[in-house]
Amino acid sequence: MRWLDRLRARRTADRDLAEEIQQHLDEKTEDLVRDGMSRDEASWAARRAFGNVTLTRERGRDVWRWALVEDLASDARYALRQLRRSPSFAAAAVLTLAIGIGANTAIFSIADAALLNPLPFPHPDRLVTVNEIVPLIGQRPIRLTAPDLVDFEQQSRSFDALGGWTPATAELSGGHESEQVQTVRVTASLFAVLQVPPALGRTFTADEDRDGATVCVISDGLWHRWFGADPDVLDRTAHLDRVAYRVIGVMPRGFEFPPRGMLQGTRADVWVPMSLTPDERQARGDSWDYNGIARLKPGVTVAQASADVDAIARHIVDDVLARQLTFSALVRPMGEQVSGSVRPLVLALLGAVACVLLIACVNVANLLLARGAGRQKEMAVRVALGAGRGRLLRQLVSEALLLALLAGLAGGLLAWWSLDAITRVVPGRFAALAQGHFNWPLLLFTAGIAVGTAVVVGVVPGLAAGRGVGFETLADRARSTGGAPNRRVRAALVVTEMALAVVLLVGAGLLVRSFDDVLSTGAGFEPEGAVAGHVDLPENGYRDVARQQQFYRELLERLRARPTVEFAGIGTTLPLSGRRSERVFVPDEYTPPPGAGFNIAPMTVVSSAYLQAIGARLVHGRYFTRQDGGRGEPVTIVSESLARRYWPGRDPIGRRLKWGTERASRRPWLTVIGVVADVKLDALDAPGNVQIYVPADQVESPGAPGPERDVTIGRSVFVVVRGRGTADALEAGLRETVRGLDARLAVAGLQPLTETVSASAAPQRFNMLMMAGFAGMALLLAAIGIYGVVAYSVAQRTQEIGIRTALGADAGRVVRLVLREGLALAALGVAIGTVAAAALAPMLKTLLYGVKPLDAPTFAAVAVLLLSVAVAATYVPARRAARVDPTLALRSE
Amino acid sequence: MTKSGRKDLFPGALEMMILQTLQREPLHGYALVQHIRRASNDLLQVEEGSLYPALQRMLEAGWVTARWRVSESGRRIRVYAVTSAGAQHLAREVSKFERMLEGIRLVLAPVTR
Repeated sequence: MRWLDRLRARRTADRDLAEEIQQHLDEKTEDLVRDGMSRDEASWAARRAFGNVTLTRERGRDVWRWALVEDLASDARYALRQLRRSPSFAAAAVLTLAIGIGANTAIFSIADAALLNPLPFPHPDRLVTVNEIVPLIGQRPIRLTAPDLVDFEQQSRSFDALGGWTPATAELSGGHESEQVQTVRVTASLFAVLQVPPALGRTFTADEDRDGATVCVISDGLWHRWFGADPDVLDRTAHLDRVAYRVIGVMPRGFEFPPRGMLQGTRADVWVPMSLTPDERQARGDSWDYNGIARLKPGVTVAQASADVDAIARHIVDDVLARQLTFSALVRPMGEQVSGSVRPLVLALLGAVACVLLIACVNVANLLLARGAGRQKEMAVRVALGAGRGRLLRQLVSEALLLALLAGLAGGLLAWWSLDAITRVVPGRFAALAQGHFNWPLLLFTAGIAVGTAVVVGVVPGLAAGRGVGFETLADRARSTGGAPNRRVRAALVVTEMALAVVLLVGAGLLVRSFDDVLSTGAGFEPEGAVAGHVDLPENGYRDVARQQQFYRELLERLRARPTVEFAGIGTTLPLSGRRSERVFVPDEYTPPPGAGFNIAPMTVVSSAYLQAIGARLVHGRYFTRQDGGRGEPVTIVSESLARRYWPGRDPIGRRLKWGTERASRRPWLTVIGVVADVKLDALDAPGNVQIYVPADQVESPGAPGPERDVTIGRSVFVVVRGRGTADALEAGLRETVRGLDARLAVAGLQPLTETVSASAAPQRFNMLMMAGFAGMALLLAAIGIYGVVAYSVAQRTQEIGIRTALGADAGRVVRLVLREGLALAALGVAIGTVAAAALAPMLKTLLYGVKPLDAPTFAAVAVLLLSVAVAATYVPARRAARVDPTLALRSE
Repeated sequence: MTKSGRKDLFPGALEMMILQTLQREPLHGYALVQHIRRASNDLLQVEEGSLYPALQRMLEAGWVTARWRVSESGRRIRVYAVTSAGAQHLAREVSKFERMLEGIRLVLAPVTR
């Protein structure tokens, strides 16, 4: 035990030194006595000549190397004792810093995942998406048509690989209770783009893709869930929509494609070959449903690749489409798109937490300054007792470090917990955020900031205290003189934190108003009292349109027969589902402006009672009835926006439209019989849209004459039931009815429409809650800050207040005096903060809905709120000041 | 507080004088102070506050050893003696010092050309 020997040696050395010095002093004293001095005088002279005995001993001790460690230990012990002596100070400082550190670590961890590492694939910087811009539809990049995807894959030269994918759902059955799984149709080249090899087996070959082989690659999750992690899973079968697919590969754990943030809903479990049908291959200028993704060749830039695909697009426009439809193509970095949707939010949150940390640091600076001023006397005593300057400095630093360490620990816990909580409530649209992992380097980084702050603000006043020490400080005259500059600094700090709090509160206020607006604007339908779910009829068994229609007819009849059901309907979309199918149409009696493009609207095929079932508000005309059948006049119902855009100022009832691009086509005209409110298909904060509803019974039956392919309601529909009784009962009834018709059929995503609405409002709610949370912290910290400053100032001015009281100032006057001080600080802070907030608010623009960034009521409310909080925080010390007993205050001097 | 009257001549000077003194005869701290003052004709005054930390440093470095003894006047004293490592160190330091002194002398000497 070398260190034990060492420790013992050190003890001995210290004892030896002490005795040695004592002997030295004695010897000198005796010499001096011999020279004729009195013993007392001699003793004093000897001590004076020797100087600071403690210091000498300490410096002697420093020689032995353990000194550093032991000093640290003793510093820490001493610091702990100091903190324990003022527990409220310690608690306030630690808690404040912990909040700042915790919030920052959590949000930075999320930002790190969402913005910097959004793609879990090798060399993510070379992954791009391939998009088209069709001017007729809009300037937004959209997905590709199937034939374009094929052309890009075959003709482009900029990529190592280019692939396509399109999401779907399928019924997975066989061996277990069947479930709906998220599937993705992918081209064989997609796995080459991603460069992620399977953990087991292989991925598709180009032949399998072309020939429509029934093979599939499954996720690690499904392998465990469905196949019990069977190592011999290869060549077992998965029944997708009642077709046997051979499992040929299992992807590694954690593999996710499409990556979060690019797909609404659950993560994909099954990848099947794209196997484009002949119909799909020929759909030029139709169905932009295919996502293009590619990996750039090394050295090829995004711009070069864009030019490459655009040249192919130009060729298609000129030679194939004969300029009937023009479009351009481009590639974009994929990471940006995954994180793009969350970028404004993440940046806003980063700004907010940075503000919180800043406020926390300001607050702690304030606390330490107040303490530093209060400890001038203590420092003076310690210097007089022989503490070296370095020793004092180290003491102050170690106290600051201890504070920061405690705060770092608490902040780490806070971050851990809140990260968990935040990632759990992240709404689907922000899924990229949910990948946030606890980030140790970041905790250290934020703790470092806190330590820096603590050290600077802890040491500077301490040093000042140490330098000016001497008799004066000990004699306590510093009390009335030392405070003034200090107080000014602290006032400035409070103004700063008030201003920061204003900025945060304005941000939160705007988001609260925005959320309110999103909810109150409404989605164009009545969610109360209805439930909806999704039914996918497997192709195997329901290939026949007649069979499908028979199923739907029976389903609706049985549902309608239930006593609690008022309306039951099926439709190809559901409000807020994000599911839509865009169609080109020609409105009658409408002259397009020159250069106008195609007329495009999402088409919903519905059963007669669907619109009543979702509660779409009827504006003109009538709903569909069962008389709008196959033999009746073709009819349609359009949205308010559509009626307004194409037939402004005219009665929309009786106007006509037809599918396709040409008035002269042989397709039938559909007569408008009703107009309903715009129903939000994608999100609550999306703008209203033109929409067209057509009755399912008028969808052409197979074999019916028609120059082009026409719409069918298809095998994938939403079922909506509106009725009396609880949502649970309605849901159970729906599920029971479906099972009664086909025992294997599952109803997916069954939930009340009210829940659909609240899930859709989740992004706004999330933004609002996060921002409001940070604003709340800021407000609390600012309140503590202003309370601290005013309370301290009251304590310092006890005599002055005593004198005022003695001279006849009544309590009210004293309270007003103190309140005025607090309010002056707050008002200045609010003024500065308002200006800053006005400058910063426009950055929130993309997060706002229905509220202008410079919303006057919000700004006013924040100002009033902060001033009231300041008054409340000041009132406590003001009351204390008013109770000052003049005789006591004066006598204490 | 100590007034900083002690100013080392240069770093290491105090150690050199201590080693030089102790090489002549082992001494305890008080005697060391007295001896250096007398030897320098009162020109050099060893600050007691620096002496003991210096002795501790030298003990730690192994240049000196210390032993408790009872003096002729019956006082418990701690006598320091130079070790061989200390003697070597002193020799090195002295030659370094002499070279430096020689340099200084040459620079300061009146120009005779």
